[in-house]
Amino acid sequence: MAAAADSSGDGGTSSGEKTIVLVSSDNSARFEVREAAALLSQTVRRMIDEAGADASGDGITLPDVDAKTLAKVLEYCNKHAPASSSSSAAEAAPPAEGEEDLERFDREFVRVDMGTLYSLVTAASYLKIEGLLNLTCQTIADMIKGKTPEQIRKTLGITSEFTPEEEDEVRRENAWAF
Amino acid sequence: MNNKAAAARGADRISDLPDALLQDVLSLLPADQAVQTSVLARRWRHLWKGMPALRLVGPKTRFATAQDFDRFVNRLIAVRGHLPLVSCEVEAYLTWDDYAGEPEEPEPNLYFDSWIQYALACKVQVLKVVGDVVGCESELIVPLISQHLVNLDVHHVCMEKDSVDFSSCPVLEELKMKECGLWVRSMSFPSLKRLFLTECNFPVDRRVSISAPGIVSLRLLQCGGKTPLLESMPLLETASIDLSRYECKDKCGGCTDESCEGCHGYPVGSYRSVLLNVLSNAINLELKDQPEVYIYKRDLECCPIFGRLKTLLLDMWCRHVDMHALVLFLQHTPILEKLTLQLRSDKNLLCAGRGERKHVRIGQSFSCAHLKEVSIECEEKLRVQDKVRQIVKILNRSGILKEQITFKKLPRPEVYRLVAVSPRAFDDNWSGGE
Repeated sequence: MAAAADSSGDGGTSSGEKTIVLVSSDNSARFEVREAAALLSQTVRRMIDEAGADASGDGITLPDVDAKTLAKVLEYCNKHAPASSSSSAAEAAPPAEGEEDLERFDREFVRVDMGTLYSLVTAASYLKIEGLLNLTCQTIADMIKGKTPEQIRKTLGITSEFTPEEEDEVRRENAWAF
Repeated sequence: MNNKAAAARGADRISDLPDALLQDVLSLLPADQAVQTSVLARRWRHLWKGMPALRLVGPKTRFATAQDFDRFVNRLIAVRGHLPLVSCEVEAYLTWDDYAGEPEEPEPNLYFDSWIQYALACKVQVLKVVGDVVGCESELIVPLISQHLVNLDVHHVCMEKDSVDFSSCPVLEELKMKECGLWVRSMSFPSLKRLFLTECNFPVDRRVSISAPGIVSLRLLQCGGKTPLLESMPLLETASIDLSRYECKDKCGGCTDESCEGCHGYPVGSYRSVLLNVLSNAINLELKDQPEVYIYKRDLECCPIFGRLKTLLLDMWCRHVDMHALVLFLQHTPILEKLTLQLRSDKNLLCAGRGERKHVRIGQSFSCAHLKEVSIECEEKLRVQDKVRQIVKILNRSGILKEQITFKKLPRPEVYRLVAVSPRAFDDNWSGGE
């Protein structure tokens, strides 16, 4: 594993903007991203604050996110990052792209298989990326809306261990909601 | 479930997601569909009860009558108990606009207040309340009492209490009120940081007094009735005031009109500043003027110094721009850095053209040592361009160079159509048919 050349762990893009290195859980992949994109994650923000001046050149390891998922998450962050990072919460700065453009991107972004979607929602939750968490949760919610229980189980991959009697009991118990 | 292993494997089983995450998903569903997930599998049976957010909304497509909706919500509340809530939305059932209160017809939204109390009892932090916009006015019973409420968003309700006191919500930071009837005498918000009042109605015969000493951000937009009297706001940073609504009752009927309150209603020396004094602390200010509204004109007679003001936006009807007032204002903004002037043409049918003083020599100038940027945004009409030239002259005379002034085009306004629109047009859930 190659260590970053400079001691502070900060790289630089050709435009001289500050970058951060993020490492996946199995150490198999390192991603250099713009600071503004990385800071969309409150977890990364906290890790940087805690590491402080001792930030190692090895980058920040994210033990709960595998390489494939991290790549996809960073695709989101790069698109949604503000034009420049600010010292205040990243939510306060507007993204560099136009709103319609972002909406189109978001719609395409979540057209993935269920496994990837679950990995994304889990990663968004762990990394505390508000926009991505809202997007992925809403996508799953939209898959539930208006469907029968049987359809929902099929779409989401849920196995019901209810016995027929148990299921009847639950239906009766909550008949008022149907 | 092992989050790390699940993430690392790229789990394709939703069962590996933690409860909290699933509950976040359920929170995005209509309440009845969230409860229905109880039959999906064992793990889901009681999961819905722990949802951090609850939306008590009853579309007609799902709940044919108000009583159906009442039954559903009351049952849900009883089964759910007082597990904590982070956010909650309580929306009154939309009654028909021809609800005449017949004796046999049960009164709709009887439980509106009890559901709000339920949310507060669940320690809710973010509460949105939407009253019946179509039928009877929903009253918001005050005071609300909560040690946890941080954000309150209220639509289409009325408050009918002399004194509205929110000291019983000691951590309330933000209050948004939209299209509400505020038939009160005074309102007090000791802890509030952000106050946003949009299209609300105040009484027409007196000014409501509002005390909110901790306000940092204020919006008073398009309200009807008499503009409220705001008490001192020493922490104010950003304010946006728009007095352009037709129903604003602070209009001057014309200085020759004996009954005009603005010109003749205040005995000499008795006029108290309504807005400008309290706004004088602001760092960023947006003022949208309506030429007939006399408040700014009167307030300017004793114009305070805007000692912290850095950015100022003035949205004005071009024909009625009072150059003297503008210069006077700018003489009281010593550290202003950015000025934006928006000039609109008067396509407003409701705004009768009044004679303007032509060929007025504006001899004054102002001095803003820090003013670096001036942006003039206007429509491309000849009359507007005349005014623009006048303004640029004043700016030049005040030391603003041509390079510091940018021009932007404003889109022409749509013709205002005075059409009565049925409230049903706004009801997405109205299924049609009588």
